Amino acid sequence: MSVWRSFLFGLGRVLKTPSLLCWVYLASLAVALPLAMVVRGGIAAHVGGSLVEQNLRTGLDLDWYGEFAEEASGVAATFGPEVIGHMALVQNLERLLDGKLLAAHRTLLAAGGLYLLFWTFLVGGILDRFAHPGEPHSRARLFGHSGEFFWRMFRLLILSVLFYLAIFRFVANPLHEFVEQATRDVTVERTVLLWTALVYLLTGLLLAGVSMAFDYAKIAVVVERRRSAVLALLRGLGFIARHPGHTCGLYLLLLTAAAVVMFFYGAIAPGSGQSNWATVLVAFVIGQAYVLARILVKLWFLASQAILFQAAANHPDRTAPAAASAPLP
Amino acid sequence: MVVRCAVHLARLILWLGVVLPAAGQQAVEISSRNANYTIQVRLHPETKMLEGMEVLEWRNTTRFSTSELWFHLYWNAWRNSRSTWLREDALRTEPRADSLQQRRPEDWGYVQIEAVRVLPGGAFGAAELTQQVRYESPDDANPEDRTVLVVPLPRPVGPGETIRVELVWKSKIPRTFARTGFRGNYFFLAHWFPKLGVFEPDGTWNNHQFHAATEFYADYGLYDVQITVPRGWLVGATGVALGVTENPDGTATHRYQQADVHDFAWTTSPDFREARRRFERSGLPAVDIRLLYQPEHAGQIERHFRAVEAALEHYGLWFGPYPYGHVTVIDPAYESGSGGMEYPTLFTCGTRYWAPFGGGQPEGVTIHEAGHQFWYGLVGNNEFEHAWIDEGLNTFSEERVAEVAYGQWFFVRRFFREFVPVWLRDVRRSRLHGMGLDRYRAAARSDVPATPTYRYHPETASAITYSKTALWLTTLERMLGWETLQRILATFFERYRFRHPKPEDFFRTASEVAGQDLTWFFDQVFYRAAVFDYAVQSVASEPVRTLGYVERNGTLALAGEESAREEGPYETRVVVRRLQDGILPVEVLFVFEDGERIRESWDGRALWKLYTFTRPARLEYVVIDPERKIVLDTHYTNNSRRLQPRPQFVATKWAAKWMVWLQDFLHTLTFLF
Ligand SMILES: [Zn+2]
Repeated sequence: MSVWRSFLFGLGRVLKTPSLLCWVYLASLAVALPLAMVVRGGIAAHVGGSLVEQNLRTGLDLDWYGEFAEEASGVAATFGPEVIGHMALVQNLERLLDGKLLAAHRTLLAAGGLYLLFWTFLVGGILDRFAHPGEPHSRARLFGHSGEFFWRMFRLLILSVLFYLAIFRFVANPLHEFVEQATRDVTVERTVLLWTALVYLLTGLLLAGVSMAFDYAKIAVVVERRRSAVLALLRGLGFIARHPGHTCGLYLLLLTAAAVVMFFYGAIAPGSGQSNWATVLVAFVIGQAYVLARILVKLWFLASQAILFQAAANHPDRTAPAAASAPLP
Repeated sequence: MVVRCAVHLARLILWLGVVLPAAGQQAVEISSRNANYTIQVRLHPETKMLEGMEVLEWRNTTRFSTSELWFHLYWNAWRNSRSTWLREDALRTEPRADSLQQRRPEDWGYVQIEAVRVLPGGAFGAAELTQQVRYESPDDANPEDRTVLVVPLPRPVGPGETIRVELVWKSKIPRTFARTGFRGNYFFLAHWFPKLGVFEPDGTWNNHQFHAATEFYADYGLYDVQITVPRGWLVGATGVALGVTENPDGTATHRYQQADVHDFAWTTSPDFREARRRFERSGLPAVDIRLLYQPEHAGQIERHFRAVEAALEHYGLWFGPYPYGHVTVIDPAYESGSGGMEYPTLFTCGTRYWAPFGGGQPEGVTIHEAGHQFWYGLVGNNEFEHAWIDEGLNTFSEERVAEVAYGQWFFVRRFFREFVPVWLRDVRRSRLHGMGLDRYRAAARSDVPATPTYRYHPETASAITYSKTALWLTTLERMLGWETLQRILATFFERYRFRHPKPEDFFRTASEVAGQDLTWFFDQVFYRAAVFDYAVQSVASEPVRTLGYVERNGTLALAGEESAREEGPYETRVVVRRLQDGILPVEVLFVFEDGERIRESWDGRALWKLYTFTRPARLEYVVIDPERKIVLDTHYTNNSRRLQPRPQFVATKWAAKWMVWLQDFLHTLTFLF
């Protein structure tokens, strides 16, 4: 199975199972919507009958925002100009690459934890579907497998978070610190920028490596019915080690797909000026389409990597017609 | 317009009479020129040391004699962590970017006096004083502070007498503290020489220790400085270059001279590039602008020039001309910590490798520091005690110039360790935002502005010094009109050019020019830490309705028929409140559904006030201070109220955006798994 074929067939499997996309999206909505209602209440309470409402229709009034930021409490306090358009993406990307994902506001962290649990629960069922596309599927089977794999996946999740933290504790942060110290007499920003970018690149590579390893670990849990999280992880790592070109090539393609989605949304992301319900609705729909696209890409990662894994491991379970050919070298 | 042109013409004639503008020539004496320095200094880049020798010629311009000379030794603020500067700096909760623990031995700084002697001349004979000097800590009695040196004299300097003193010193250049120091082979040397304090007209020395939140104060004079640096290194300095002498030891000596200034700063680096521009506007003297920039900022040269020119033009037309004929603009080295600082005829700005045009930098900082040539350079207030005069007036002026020259900046945030700017073109920063309304709100009670600035809490000092002053100046602008405020500032500038104005001088000038006693205003904004917050407490508008008994045909009868009619008239009742202790007169605007507008003036004194109207239509909304004159009002959202609140739309709109942001965050989290 070539990288390209895994890549394309993966997308095919995701598109053939829109219900999976729906379930993950519903999880995202279930977590985000109630909190958005809280934030909505916070903004509504602060604006009240004030005429500042007019300024918030036409854009974001930073003078108002200063007052709001001072008085807002709870999750509403996380509202700020950063939520607008492409800046939201950059901020979250920065969090990821600076190891600050788990340093978010505690309500966000709780929401994130809940969503991760949803995801961890669903991922077993999702992978089962991707790994056995020919078998009859039903909601019962999806949740049945989700339940079956949940604890194994949960242990993997814990391991993954530990890896994530370790990357920053032992590699990224010390390297940034090192760059800062080593360049303390450098007077050219471009030089420091370059070194910092290299640290980010390395961090990104490590994160990608870990993410890839855990993807194959999850796949191994489902496809090979592995019980031990540690052994599954080793299996994932071993698989990457045995097929570095294919796994990395595929990962790079998938990452490119994710980047395309983000760039595209970043380019068309609505700004701050929606002043009637129609434009607000359009902006919201565009935002949700972006969220759906991101989820789709996430599933695409799993589907394509599962195809590659099954093809390479020559598992009897694989049923995709194309997967029958082209064993890996 | 005619009046304005005439004023400019008069200014120009006045200016031509007192100043010779061409570069290289000195201005005709217009300041007191009573503290004149001749300095020779040599930089040792490898050891980060300075060796200096200065001759100070000081004339006592007061009616009193003094038997001492008081000097600032600013760099001793970083001799060790026990100095007053570093103790105060430690009060900031936001940690320094470079913690003191991380400082290496070579990162500290100090100045050591090696010799002090009186030179013969006039009534004075030669005298060696090196052993007699002592250190004082007039502000906090900190025995470990070494920033104030007192030199006892063999005989007093009487009124009108002149004394010449020679000082020899050595100093260690710190890794930058307070905008002075080194990074690599970039050196920025400010407040670097033993500098005389000010002998005040009341016969006392005004010579404070160096404090973390305040700057400087000195008399005007002539500076003649010879700077020796490695050959090939570019030098930027206060004044004009009189020439370079190449020395056999591989160094070069650059001579700079400037009269009528109260400080001298310089910088050197082998990496600087140089660009020049001549500023010319009708009605203003020409100014040669010399920009020393970092090679990686070559693409931003034009932006720097444009900002300097905007400042020279608007400050020049609004307040008074810039008389020196030249200015040196320093684009500091990356992370050198020396950016954004003003010195006479020289200032540092500061930009980044990626700096989107429209985001406010480097334009904002360049206008600000160029503006300090007027508020600080020419009007030389005591920055230890009344920093608000230069910083506040200048922040106000800067924001006004920026708005006139560029419009509003858009919102920029820097990500990824602040290397990468991301901006939102449709989110604009108002002038109030630029002045620091948010910072002021958070620190409104932190200090009474009338307190000497060096006693402000270091953490919040700038919120009062810069932001509060700029904000109340905006209030004056909106209350009196820009024309009047501009005349106030121009008059203040003209009167106190080359002098040391005190707060009362500004207040007196303001009242006089405005033609009204503004004491009540300054009492509120300057002599108290009063906070201003007016708010609408309640709004009601209902059909007029009477319950109970009314008089009808001479007898009391139940008021049944007079009951409310939906078509009106309506009784509107609005309660407005003063939520804080700050009192300023304010206007209240009532707008009714039929378009009728009623404007009421409220003296703003009572804690609350009820307004009642009977009108054919219901009230639509009420606004306190509709033109937002009281920009110190910390919460403007509560200044207005609709009868029918309708926050749902904007709340939904913004919560929907927030939700996408959250979903993106949630999704990013799944990268972990
Ligand atoms: Zn300033």
